Amino acid sequence: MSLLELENLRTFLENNGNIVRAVDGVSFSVEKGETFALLGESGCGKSMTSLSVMRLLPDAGRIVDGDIFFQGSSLLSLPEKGMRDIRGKKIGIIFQEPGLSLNPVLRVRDQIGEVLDRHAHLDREARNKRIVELLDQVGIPDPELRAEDYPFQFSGGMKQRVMIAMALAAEPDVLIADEPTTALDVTIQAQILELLRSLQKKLGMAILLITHDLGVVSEMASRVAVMYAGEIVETASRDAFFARPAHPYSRKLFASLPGREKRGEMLDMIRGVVPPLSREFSGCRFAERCDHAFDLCREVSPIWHDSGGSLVRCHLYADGRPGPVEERKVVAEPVPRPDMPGEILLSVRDLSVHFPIRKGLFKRVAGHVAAVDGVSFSIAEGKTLALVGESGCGKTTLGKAILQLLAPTSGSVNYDGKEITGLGRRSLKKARQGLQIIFQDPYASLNPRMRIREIMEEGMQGMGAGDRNAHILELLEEVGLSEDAQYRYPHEFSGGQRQRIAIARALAVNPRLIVCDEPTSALDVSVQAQILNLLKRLQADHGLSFLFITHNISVVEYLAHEVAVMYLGRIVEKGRAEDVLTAPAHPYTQALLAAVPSIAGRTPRAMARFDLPSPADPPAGCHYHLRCPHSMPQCETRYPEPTRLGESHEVRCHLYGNDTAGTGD
Amino acid sequence: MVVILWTDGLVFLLSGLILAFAVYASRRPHLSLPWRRVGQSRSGMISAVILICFVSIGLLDSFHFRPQIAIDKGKPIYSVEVLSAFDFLVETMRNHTERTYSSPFSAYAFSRETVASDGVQSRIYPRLRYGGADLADPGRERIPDILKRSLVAALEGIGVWALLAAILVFRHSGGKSFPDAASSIFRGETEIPWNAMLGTLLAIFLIAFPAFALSSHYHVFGTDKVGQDVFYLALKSIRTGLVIGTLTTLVMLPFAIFLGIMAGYLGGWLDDVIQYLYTMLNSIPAVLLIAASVLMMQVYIDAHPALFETMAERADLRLLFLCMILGMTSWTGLCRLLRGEALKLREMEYILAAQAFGVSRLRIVTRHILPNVMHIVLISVVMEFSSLVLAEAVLSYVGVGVDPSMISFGTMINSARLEMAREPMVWWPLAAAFVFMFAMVLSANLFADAVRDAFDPRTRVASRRIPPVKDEA
Repeated sequence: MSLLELENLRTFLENNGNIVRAVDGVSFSVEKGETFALLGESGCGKSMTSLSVMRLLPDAGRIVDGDIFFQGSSLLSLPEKGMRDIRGKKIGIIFQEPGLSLNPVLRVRDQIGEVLDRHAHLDREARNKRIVELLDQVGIPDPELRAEDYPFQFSGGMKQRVMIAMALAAEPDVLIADEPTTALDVTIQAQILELLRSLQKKLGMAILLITHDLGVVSEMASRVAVMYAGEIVETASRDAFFARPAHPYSRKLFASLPGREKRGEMLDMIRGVVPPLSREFSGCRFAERCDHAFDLCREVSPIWHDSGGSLVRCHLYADGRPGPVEERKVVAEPVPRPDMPGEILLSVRDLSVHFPIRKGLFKRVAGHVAAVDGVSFSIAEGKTLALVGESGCGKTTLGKAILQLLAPTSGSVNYDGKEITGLGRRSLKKARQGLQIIFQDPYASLNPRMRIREIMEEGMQGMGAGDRNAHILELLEEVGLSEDAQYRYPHEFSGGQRQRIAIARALAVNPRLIVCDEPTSALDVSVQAQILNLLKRLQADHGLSFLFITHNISVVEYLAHEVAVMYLGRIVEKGRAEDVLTAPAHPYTQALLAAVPSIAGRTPRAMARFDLPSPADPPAGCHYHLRCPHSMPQCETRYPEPTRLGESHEVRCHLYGNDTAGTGD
Repeated sequence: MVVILWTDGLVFLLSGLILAFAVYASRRPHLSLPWRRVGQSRSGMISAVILICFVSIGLLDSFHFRPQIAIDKGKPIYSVEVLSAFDFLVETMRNHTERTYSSPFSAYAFSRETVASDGVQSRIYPRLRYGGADLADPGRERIPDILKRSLVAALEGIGVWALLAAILVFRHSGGKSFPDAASSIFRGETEIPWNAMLGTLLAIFLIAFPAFALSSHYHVFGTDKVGQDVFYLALKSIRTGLVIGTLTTLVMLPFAIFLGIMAGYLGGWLDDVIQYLYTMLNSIPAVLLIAASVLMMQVYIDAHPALFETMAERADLRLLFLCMILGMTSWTGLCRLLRGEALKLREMEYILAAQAFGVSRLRIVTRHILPNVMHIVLISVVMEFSSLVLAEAVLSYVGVGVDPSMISFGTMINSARLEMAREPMVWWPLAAAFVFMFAMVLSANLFADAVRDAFDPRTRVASRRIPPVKDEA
């Protein structure tokens, strides 16, 4: 008997009269003590599956068919009251957004106590002891004191730990983790995953892990199910899945991951987007995006076949056939890389952006947040500089300050030989032609009340009307959108298409440098590959330079020529991508790289301890010394000077300074 | 001679603007989509039908002219009395003035009078000049007469309604047979709830046709102290209420939008100044401010009688001024909302992208911020309407509202209040004012709710509740 078993579960949502088949015939089982990963892109029905298990569906949702068994008894036949004994006590859940899952007006102690009161019935003293014990268990320092704090006094990673403590309070048999680390930085993600693993080992609970991240699956899971458009298309053990993914969709997911080994070639991508689930399907749901689809795929929905190692719903495995034959591209499409040492296009010297902290009735300036603190770098023509760092380290602020969207406090930004800080509005306008920006959130970056044409015309004021028309059509073609897109409104496009529109808008003024502020972090892997390919091709065709702001190391490995690592407003290490990524010098860079979950599996790693300190009150001396495993006395007093390690490799760490015998790890 | 009063002009301007917007929006799906959603709301469309009836009366009442009374040496001489197209339509009602109070549908005056006939003085309830005047024996004939007239008028109403319904069905048949189209409309299968709207229209016709038919022979709502027909007064009040409700927003909007967006978008010391300004305005009682300004205006009007050709112009100027004062005191709420919204929008990435193109501030405000706050403006304007109509009633009651010669709900209530203490009570002027104002404000509120639901993304919820998961096994 399995611990948790879903049998042909079908959950429908009703949206403006449309039926959305969010979960359409999903069956799987979770055994005691294992980690079962449900993998899929957004909009595939993963979260609806987990909410169905908890019977916490939104008002519009309804389980229309199938059943869910917990230890052999049906959850769907329980009355609501009986279900409340299951939630928390037998099945715990943690959500993606730790900031939204805790009640901001309750002390942490009271929130955990709530669970204990419902399920554990302890006396006052035992209750308090248990709360402290739980907080200690999830690795919160000073648990006695912290229990009295409110959620806002915790950082994002700490909040997620509190959430886990809450979910574990009644010692559930199954923990559902719905994208538990998606909202967190890689270093924190590594800590949380490590915590979940150790807790699982200690408590012997089963984890139903819901994620879109292949790396997380590889590190955590014992078995994997791939979900696509409301269905499970493949189930396999972790090892079988990562050794040889069977379904064409799974294979494409692997192929579209950016990474170091794929530099210089175009990423393999999946055509189109996940189909809307409000549609009727006939045949295989992946058929229209599949390279191997044949007539049968479009007519008959495939049944389960054994591919040797995994179960897969694909006609290519019927009757013991071997599955899709990879016509492996012998020569991957080469990307011409302008390797000439280009002219320096943008150079930034000692740029600082300080935000005043105002206090009191008269808004006296009480201090400064040094969001960007004396940053220098330069970008050559046709090159990509990746700016890497955790959230809150000032990457985005730096990007905005370069474009003069924020006034820098001091320092200089030199574009194409001209200083652009402190320019008046009019003279700045000229410089801005050459500098453009693409934002992270494709939903917030297009005005919903303007048509695509009007959006693109915005920057093209100076051109004649005839030119403009031709130019718009040219740009739309360039980013892969059809001509009639120009008369439509942003809400008619998907996230990836919107990002293309944003790119087309930036290109409209023929810029030479584009600041890309996490342009793919809101997108699914398959769509990310499309956008990265597009950016790479544009760079090759137009000789564009990119300042690529990101926290995604694999994107950096794939795309960047040079890398700058930023920590608390300062660049701690910079150099050519090969140097920095293969031989990271700064302990922070090492921790950052080690924290990236890899599809190659679990590796022992140097983890960054604790969380990012507040930029309003950075630690004295080297900002990293509190988290650094190599911390030395001088780290606490003096910020290290830059040390050259190679032709272009530069690091700011006392380990490499002249005054100490640097070991370089 | 056509007279265009200040408020008439502004009412026409506003109607023109609304029409132009309707044409503009119908071509743009993102603008017309929420209105289509309003169109699907049952309560919204029912109240819209009622509102349209009120608005048509108000508009008819806004075409003013001075009738010609004589020609003197080839030059026409015009009456000093300014009439409206609506007055012209209900002329009988307007001219049928009694000497004093009479109760609804009565043929006799409300109080005894000493009448001399054939040299004998007697104290009787005299017959009215117009109310049931053609009846020989009102005691016996009055009720059958009223019933007969209402029945005939109701039948007429049904006839007109059937004609309108037939036209509607015909226009919507679109390939289907007439009976099919009719049944789909009446069973509510159409996107817009036509059946509810037709039902409302029928109810209105069944009340309005008999009421108008009877009004030429009776006083449907009685008469007031000076013998004027109360039904006529209530109908005339509609225009005043509408003018106050709409023109005030016209005055208020520029302040609220301009200052709100400036404060939110530009920030800095400008934000501080604007915030202090509306916080200050908010902390002065509005009635005090209004009373002071209206009284000042009255002094000015009284001191310059030569400026006004007719009474109506004087009264109209005071009405306009009242709208302005109300507008000046009521922009703060919307301004605060818009400031917050602009503050939020300022950080939106599409605004940053526009800045990165070097787009000027003015263009950012007009092309990016303004269109994205218009839904808030619209919701608050529709919500504000009913509270302004009520505010007029209160202010006129207090005596700082419209000119006493102008007919409005407030002046009706004001003149009726003393009569409530009489024995037997004179209840009808107050009741008439109440019924009309209630119908107008309630339908405006319901309509505002429908508009808010359609425009506010947060209130949109699942169309219907889903039944529980599964029956207990």
